[in-house]
Amino acid sequence: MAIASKNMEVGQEIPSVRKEVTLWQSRLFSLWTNPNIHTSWEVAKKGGLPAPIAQGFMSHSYISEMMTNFFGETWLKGGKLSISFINYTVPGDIITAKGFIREKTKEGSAVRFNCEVWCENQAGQKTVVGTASALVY
Amino acid sequence: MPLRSGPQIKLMVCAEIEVGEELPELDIASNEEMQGRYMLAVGDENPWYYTSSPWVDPITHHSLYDDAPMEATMLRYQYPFGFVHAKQETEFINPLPLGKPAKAYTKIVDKYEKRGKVYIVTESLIKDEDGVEIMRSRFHAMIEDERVKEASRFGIDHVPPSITFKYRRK
Repeated sequence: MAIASKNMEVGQEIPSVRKEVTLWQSRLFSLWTNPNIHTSWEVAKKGGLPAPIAQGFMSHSYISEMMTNFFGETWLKGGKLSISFINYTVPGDIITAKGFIREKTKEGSAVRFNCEVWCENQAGQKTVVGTASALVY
Repeated sequence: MPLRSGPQIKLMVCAEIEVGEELPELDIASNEEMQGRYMLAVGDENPWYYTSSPWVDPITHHSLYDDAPMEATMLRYQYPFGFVHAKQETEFINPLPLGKPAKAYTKIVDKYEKRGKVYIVTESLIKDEDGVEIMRSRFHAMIEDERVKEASRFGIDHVPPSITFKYRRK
């Protein structure tokens, strides 16, 4: 299943993952529990937000899905992800997880790919930025 | 639940947060139905989570326990609006077989100020019932003292965590 191979060059793009975010998904992700900023217009407005915002963990999952597709097993057994949330995601947004290989470092018989990763919305505005790494054998 | 502090539940304001404090342990009980909901929510169709994987068949999607640091924190601290999730650091150590019991061990590891905002950092280590480490994650949340105090004055309800749906407190 993995795509990554040792001979890939720095700068290589990671195949992206695209998601259309709905309020229904945010509610499902919250397990339809009590109203909160992710599920309720009223609570979101009380909290000073323009709309119910998607959970940051959803974008976390989008990036992890992209990296699982790319690295395969070594992502879920040894992968590292560090992301910052810089803009809200709201229902109706189309979010694309993207990334590229920034650096390759040797670790024993394997190579660690250090990558830049981010999510951006349909306007090209970044919502999440960060780094990720995993080993390639 | 009214927003008020007590001997067990503290208001989430900077002065109340104790770095080093251990938060309640959480029992993680994954199952196909719960996993199915999360998979639909994030639109992930990888068969590793449904039928077969390189390890066991199938494995638990990490979104079922990604929020353990936040959930554990909300059992000890009251915050009325939901956290402003600023940063997340995750180390995927081992996959967790779907249905295998696991626990989240959480503590507050830091609080810091950046550009006039206060942040709390909680860290969870997830281990399965055999003690195998599954995942380590750090959750950075921005907290707003003035808004919490204002909410307290006006009696805005605290939103309890979804603990009864997904986790069991030890």
